[in-house]
Amino acid sequence: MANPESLLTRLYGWLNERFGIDAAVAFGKKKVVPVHRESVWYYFGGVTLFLFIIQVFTGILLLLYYRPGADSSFESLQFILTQVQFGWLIRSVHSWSANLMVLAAFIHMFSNFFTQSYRRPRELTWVTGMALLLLSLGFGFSGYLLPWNELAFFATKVGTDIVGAVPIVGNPLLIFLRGGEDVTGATLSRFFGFHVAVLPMVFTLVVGLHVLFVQVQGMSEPIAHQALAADKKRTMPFFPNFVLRDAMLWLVALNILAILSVFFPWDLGEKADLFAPAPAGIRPEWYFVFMFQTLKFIPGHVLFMEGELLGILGFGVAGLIWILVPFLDRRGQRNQRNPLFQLWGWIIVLFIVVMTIVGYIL
Amino acid sequence: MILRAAIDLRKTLLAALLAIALSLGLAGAVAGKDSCRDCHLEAGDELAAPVRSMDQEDIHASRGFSCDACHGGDPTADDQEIAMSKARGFLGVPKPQEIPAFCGRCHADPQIMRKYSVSVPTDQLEKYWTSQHGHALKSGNTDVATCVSCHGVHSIYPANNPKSSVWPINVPQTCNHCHGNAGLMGKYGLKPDSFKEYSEGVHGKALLEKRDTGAPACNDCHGNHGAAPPGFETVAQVCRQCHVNNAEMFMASPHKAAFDAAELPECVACHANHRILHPDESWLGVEGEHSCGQCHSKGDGGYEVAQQIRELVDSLRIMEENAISLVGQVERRGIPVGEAQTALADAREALLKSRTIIHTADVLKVAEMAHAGIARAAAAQQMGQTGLADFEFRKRGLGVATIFISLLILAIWLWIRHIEGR
Repeated sequence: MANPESLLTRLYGWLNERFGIDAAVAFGKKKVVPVHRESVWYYFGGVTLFLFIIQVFTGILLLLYYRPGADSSFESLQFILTQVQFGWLIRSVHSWSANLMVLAAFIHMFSNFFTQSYRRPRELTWVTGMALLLLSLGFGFSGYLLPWNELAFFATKVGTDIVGAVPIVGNPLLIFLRGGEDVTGATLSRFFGFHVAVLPMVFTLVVGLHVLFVQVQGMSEPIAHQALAADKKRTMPFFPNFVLRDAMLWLVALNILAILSVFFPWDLGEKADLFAPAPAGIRPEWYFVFMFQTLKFIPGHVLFMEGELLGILGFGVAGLIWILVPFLDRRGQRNQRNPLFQLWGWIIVLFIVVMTIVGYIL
Repeated sequence: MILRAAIDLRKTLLAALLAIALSLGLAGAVAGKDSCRDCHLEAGDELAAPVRSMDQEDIHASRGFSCDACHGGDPTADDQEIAMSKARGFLGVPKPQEIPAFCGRCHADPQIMRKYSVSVPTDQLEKYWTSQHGHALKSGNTDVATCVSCHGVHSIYPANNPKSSVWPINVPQTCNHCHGNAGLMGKYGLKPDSFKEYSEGVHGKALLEKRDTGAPACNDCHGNHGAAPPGFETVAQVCRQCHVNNAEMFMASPHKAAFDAAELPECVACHANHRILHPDESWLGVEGEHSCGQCHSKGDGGYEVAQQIRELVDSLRIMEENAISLVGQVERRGIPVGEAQTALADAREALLKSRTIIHTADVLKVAEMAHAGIARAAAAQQMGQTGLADFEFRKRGLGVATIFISLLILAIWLWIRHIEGR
């Protein structure tokens, strides 16, 4: 009988000969991660990635039983929750990890903003990261409708109405998203297509780029840490030290998902009824609530513009500026702290938190 | 020259004055002269009150009728003597005993009423004379209700207008104007507390508190124009207008003949008339204020039947309550309970049906329905227990997973310590 170790060594040698794995291993061993008092924020990127992997894994399992359609979506989810072995667990983990992934992505984004990690040469890492966040929101918006329950149906109606208010492209975009004038089974079919085919494909490509950028350029150091003399800087090897810490946090995240799924399983709600009046308290997913609430606060008409349009344009412009932050922060480009940007960041955080809370209270 | 100019000016002025006079006269003719209104408004508060209080939403005013349509006379005459002369058809204010016929001139004439609606009834006057009110009026008693007592005088609204005194929610108060008057009711040996009793009953609460206009007001049981109290032998006929099944079951039950023989007023014997309380299980069996024990005593067949029926309905109710509690516990833990809810709905329906079937006074029929309900409640309980067991399984699984994950985290931590301690 052949020695398993020699078999593995031979396999490694076979692959190494063809793909140069030695170079990748050497790179991993040489790569180091800066150690400082803000190192903890490094882990949120990894946690977001881990939760995305959970999404893919549980999403594939749900696909085994989920049947998209106005007459089958809700029923197939009922079947998954009541008849399929551990169906309740897979569905709840999928829903919870979707929400935690968006939360982790927001924390990851703001931590990078406040540590100015976007500064030269990592501008494109920031831009791809923002693209990933927007894609995550797209995942959330399209996935929310898939159970075809009452709340999701009306939230999608309101959400796509907001898209329809965008000048010029709004109406064609609304028709494209809904597959017609109204939210119907056609909307469900295309949201399903976006959710399981288009978005995962694009997301995987962009996440690949994002991770590649991080690996090639290494972790960004805070400005104060970067200014230290080389002998005063502390580092740890990326492999295995950092990867092992990442793994610990991933396990913690997994356990949190399990606890949430057992004690707070995601509710399926009532099946959507196209002819029923809208129920009280329609609200989008929590990460859209601050925008939703802001649009509700804006008066019907502001000067010569419709209030809703003004709000949408405002969020659009703010989002664009946010994406372009690496190119706008001139002080950051010179490795200097930018108090104005810090203040702006905190105002935005405060705005999001306050509007979200108000959205849930009112 | 000057003289000609003066004559021209005079002609022009005359033409202008003529034109103004003509246009004023024309305007007056278009607006319609109404000397009744004009004089009464100037004739002091008492005489002006009917005109001032006339609401433009009044059913008659809104259709273009003025005072003369009811009171006769000639509103185009300026002279009061002429306008209010018998020669011009003046009728004046009708006496109470004249009011039904007064209104009936139009309302009992299909030819006239058809102009306003093909579906409007014209038998009110005929019905009125068959009512207790009509009988009394005919016999010379003038303190009974006539048309105006219920509908008002000068601001009369259609019954579907909430301002109307005969809009369903206003009917009990309208009747209570007279029927709540102890002095007046005392003359006829009637109790003045019908409104109070009605307000405390299920019908009164539904109509007056929940403002459910589908709930019965006084006229739904007593009639409106032909108002009369139902006799003891016809009460069930009145109640069955809505409570069809209960009445049919009662009619086919041994109680019908027994109640007739004892001259008991059918439904009213157990449920009362105006203060109709929400019945519950305490009304069954042989104990309690409303129970079958009021008539049945130990040793007779009905006594035993009452006890058995009470036991059956109680068993179903208790079983259903327990199942609701159990399924609620499962639901609060986030476990889907759709099928259990269906079973619970079936059990609830069986309980409601059992409460209706008791009107047959037939133990077997009640038992059949109660047992069907008990079976569904048991099924819901079973599903609830399975749900709770499932939750326990989930908790145990989570415990094992947490231990496993914690051990893995510990192992990784030790590994990190090991490599970093090197």
